[in-house]
Amino acid sequence: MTWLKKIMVKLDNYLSSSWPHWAGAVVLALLNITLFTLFHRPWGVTSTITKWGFALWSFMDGDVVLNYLQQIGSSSSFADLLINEGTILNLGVVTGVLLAALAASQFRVKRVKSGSQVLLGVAGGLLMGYGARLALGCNIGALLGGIASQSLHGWVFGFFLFIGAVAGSLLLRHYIFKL
Amino acid sequence: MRKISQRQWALLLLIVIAAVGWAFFTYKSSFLIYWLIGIAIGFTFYRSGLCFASACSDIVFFRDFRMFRAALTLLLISFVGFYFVQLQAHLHDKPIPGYIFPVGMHTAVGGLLFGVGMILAGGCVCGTLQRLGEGFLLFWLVLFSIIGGSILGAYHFSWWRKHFISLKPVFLPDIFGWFLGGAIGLAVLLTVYGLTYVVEKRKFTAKRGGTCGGKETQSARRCVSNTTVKNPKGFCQTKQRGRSHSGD
Repeated sequence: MTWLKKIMVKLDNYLSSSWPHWAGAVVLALLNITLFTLFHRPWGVTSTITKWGFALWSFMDGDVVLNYLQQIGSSSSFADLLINEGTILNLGVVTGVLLAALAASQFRVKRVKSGSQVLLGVAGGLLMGYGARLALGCNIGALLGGIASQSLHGWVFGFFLFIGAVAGSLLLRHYIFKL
Repeated sequence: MRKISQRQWALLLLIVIAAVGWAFFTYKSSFLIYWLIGIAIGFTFYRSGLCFASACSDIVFFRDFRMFRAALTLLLISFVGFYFVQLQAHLHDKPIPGYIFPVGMHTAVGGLLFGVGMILAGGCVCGTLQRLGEGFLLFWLVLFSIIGGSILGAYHFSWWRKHFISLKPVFLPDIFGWFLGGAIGLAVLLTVYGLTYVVEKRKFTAKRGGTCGGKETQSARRCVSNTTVKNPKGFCQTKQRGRSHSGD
């Protein structure tokens, strides 16, 4: 049984080690291309999250939701706001991270530390949600999907995203050192 | 009774994944593939610590371009892969697949807001999903904020559309042709990639007289998971050995 032990040790080392960033990038790109080749649908995250919001909101005001869906030319109905490919993909991402964290014995619940963390999180989340709806996608859908699909909006989004991110970083650095 | 170790939980989770996958498969077979690809994406994200927010903030905080270059690598390979899938569709007179959406003022404003937002929150939307899986309770709040912001954005969408959105997607090969369109895109990405080395070198020789410490252990600079304990604001940050926060 020594060979089994050897494999277990190897697996143990492997599961608690991490990959270089570029290797992760290569694997993610291949997965994205696989998705595109199989379903002609690039990897996307935010439009699904918007649909979750709609599902919550449709209890209150269905007309606005339908109006928006028509404007972007989506064929979605209320029925598939929650159960769709995007939801499964997003759930898969969370599950995959959880699996990797558990396999590395690194999972632990991290509590919220401070009020300012909450403030920053909420502000950042609202800005991201709003921005992603205007640009019709997030880092994945608009930047990665857009540029890879050779659409001009991906390039424009990427350029302004970088400016925004640098501005945000400078702001945060200033804010941190001030306090 | 012995406490269940995390490895055992991982095995248990694998069984759950298989069961859920089977359920998806019986419902609609393509769902199974989405499920598996999603899990592979999440697994890769955790293992490699890739993070779009820190790709940008690393440059500002640490003058570190490695994450940025990794994000560019992701773009580059996807670009090449998508090109051939699209070309294939074009050659067979099928509609061109992909995310080809209207471009205009709204894209620019959206990009700016998103850029600021992902730095403040400490991760982009995908990063939020990633940190949910890692066990950050804060990011549940971020997720619900994203949902709130999305609804608000969708609610205002007709206003933006009326004033700014021409609703004209621009597909670059329509303008430049298939060959030149691909070549220009590739050239721009490669130029930015090369530029990161130039800027990195210049900044460092001016400030410190050295280059960015080439081979560092990966675990020391994992995106968030190892460092948030010491990170009071919780933003996506990589910690580097021997370099202080107030580096410049």
